Amino acid sequence: MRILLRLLNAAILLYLLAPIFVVMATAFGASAYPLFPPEGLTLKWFHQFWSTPELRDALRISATLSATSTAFATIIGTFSALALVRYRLPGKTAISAVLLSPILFPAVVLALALLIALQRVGLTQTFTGLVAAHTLLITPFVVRLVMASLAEFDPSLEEAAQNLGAGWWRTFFRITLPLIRPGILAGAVFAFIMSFDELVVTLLLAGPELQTLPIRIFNYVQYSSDPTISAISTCLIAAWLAIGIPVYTRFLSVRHS
Amino acid sequence: MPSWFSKPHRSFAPWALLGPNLLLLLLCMAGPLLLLARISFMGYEAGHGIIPAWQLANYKKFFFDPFYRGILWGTLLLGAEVTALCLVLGFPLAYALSRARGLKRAVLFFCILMPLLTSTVVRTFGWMILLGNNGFINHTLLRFHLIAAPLRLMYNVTGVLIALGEVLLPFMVLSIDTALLNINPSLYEAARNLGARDTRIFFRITLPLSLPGIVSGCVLVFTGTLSAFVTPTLIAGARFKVMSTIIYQQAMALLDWPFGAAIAFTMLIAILILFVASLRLTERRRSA
Amino acid sequence: MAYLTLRKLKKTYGATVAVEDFDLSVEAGEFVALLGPSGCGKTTTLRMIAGFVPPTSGEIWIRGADVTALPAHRRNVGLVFQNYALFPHMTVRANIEFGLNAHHVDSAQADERVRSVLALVGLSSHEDRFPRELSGGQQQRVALARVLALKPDLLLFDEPLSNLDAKLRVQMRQEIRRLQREVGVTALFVTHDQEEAMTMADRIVVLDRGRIAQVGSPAEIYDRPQTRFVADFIGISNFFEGAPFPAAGRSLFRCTSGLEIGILPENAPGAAGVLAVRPEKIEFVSADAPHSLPGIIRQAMQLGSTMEYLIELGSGDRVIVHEQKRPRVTIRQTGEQVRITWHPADSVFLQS
Repeated sequence: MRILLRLLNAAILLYLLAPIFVVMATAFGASAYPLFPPEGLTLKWFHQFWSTPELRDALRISATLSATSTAFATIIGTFSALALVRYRLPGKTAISAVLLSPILFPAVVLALALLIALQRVGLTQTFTGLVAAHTLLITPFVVRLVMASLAEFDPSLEEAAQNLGAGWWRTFFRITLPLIRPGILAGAVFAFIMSFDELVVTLLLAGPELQTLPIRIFNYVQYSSDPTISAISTCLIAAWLAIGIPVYTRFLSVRHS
Repeated sequence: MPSWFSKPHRSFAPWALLGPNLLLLLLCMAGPLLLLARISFMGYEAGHGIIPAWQLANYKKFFFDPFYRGILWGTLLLGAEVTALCLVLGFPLAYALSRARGLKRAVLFFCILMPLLTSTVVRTFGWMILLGNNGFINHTLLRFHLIAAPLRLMYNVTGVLIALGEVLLPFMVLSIDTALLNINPSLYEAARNLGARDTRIFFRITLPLSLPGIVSGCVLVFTGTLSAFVTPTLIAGARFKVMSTIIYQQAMALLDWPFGAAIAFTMLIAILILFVASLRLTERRRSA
Repeated sequence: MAYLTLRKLKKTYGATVAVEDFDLSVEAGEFVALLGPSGCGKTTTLRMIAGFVPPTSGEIWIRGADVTALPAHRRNVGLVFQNYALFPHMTVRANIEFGLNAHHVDSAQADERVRSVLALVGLSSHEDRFPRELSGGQQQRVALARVLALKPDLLLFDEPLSNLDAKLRVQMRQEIRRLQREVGVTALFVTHDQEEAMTMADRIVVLDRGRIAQVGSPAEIYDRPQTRFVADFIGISNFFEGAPFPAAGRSLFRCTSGLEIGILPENAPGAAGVLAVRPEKIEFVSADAPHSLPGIIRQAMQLGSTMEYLIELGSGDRVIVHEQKRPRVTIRQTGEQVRITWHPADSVFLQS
């Protein structure tokens, strides 16, 4: 029975991880279309990624967009989390539900709503419009993770600081901020990844000048089949693991100690 | 918490801190959604564009036109199928995850989190490689003579089901895992002490107490399927359309925003109803 | 004027009264314990003095200055928290320097102060450790050193020993008292542990539901409780409810149970009340002793160096008696017929 369960779980894990594994494997295959199992071994698709101008542009646009949105989201989200955890507020649960609601709404619906609204103020196909949309979509992640780290923060530490003669600023910058930094960092990293990978809303709002990397990938996949996509995807997976896992484990370890 | 943060003369402070976020939500979500609702009652005429009016034509078209009604039912059916698939696959995995400790749990958790950190486009691309007529699955099955002709796995609902099930599985696993971890372990010991066997413990303790997690997991997966856009578009193309792809088509290709808005608004209301209903359901169980 | 004065201090949360009519004067160098069960308002009082809770009304004076409206960080009142509240991201040294920096003490002097307080608490070799690398007792010392470095006007302790194990707790009592005497600082110590209050404090303030029940030295509180609450909360007491009545030239105490007691304190008034007697003040006597009460031992329990007997008197009243185990004193058995008595001065009459 136990062995059966293990086999079943192994099969489910295989199902869960298969597409990622396949994408990474095909990035190194020599054939002209993504073939699994790959034949031959080459790095030319990675080279292809770096040397295609439109892909490099897309990478630059995506990075700028995500970095800008993440900066806004981190500040806005941290403020909100502080307000929600540290103060007595009427209707706190309702407020936090509203703040987290952008994750709950279907992206296509938000995308169309934003398209209609931004059209009215002439912000479709602009960087500003995209930053606004992305900030909206990723702020909930920051709020959630910072709230989690604040909830485990012992409020008597702030009182101790004040008892030792520290005013508001010193207490905030020397005690509160350093102690919730792992939560803020985790929120920012997660927000950045979500923004970088966002496709649906961006697709409707971006326009030809602001083709982000996910849009390029989407179009490539839709109309052609090329291992370059596997190479890009592999780079992204590796990057997210490289920045996501350390932050995530550190955040977890801080929460558990 | 009578901390210095909550002194009476600082009570404006939380609202000041919430200000930017509330402004963002007002301008980028509440406002646009209201506009969306309004525009869904307007008319559209090719060549003239949007006609300001108050009418129900768009909703009538969506609910009574056989083509669109077919898409509505098709989307809901797909949602039910994907949810069932994720529940069947997600529960054993969540059960194993909730039982694992230390490094084993970390590794398992990583395996479930990694797909979440990988974009849907990339994962769907992986499925395209696997599911195609010359893809890995058909290739392997043919080679071992398990099938005579390639199975049709792409450009139909089967492929969408397989790929979406994988895309949304982590949500189900994590929801159920949370619920299972919330069960006080001494309940198992108490049940065993009272003479219950493993199967009885599973059906009388584990399953009922993890129900909130199952419900929230199902809601997440079902709504995830309703709003899924990337996977159906890439896997099924024009052969199998769902609500999201229709909304996209109306908005971007046909420019009939009022009709797209009507479908989008219907989807939004459906999802909100689901969420509220599931919250009611889990809350009642908790208070009972 | 006293060193610390609390005048008519009051704190209400909505309709709930946390602290009321709180008047207290503490002299310089005194060590005063605030003692009471949980929810009696002792921590609220402490937090009002520290500046974390604004009083609803009343005044707080420290060294002749009214600090009632002063924000917490300007009060120069050191607080040792129940969980120590050491900053987990700072070393021992940085924890101590934090307050010195906030007070703009120049670095040479700050250095000197850090060194001297660390020497005072015996942790000179631990200054580069982080709080999580220290034992509970060491963390306690750092918390103390951190506030002592600021030379506070007043030292407040919020149940600082409740997180330590039993042996260490007893050790830290003496340690804290030694440090407080050495520095000569005035201290207020909140605890729910009567033994802690008894062994450490110069004076004890017993609190009952937000009000002061009694203020006095440990001996006064124990031997001369002024209310039934104090007699009941501190140690163990036998209570006899009833009223004195004059009989044959001397007064008797007639309990509601019908029991008549001839052993009365001299100051007993005529009104109804409660007679309280500590178990260790009661002794066993022979049958011919005057005013003794007959009874049967219902239970005999070992308390280590003492025996505890539960005695049922003829009236049905039950009395607890503690008897030291000594050579040549035999341990009594359940069911044994005994007679008990006590010295009139060892009972206390309390108005009910």
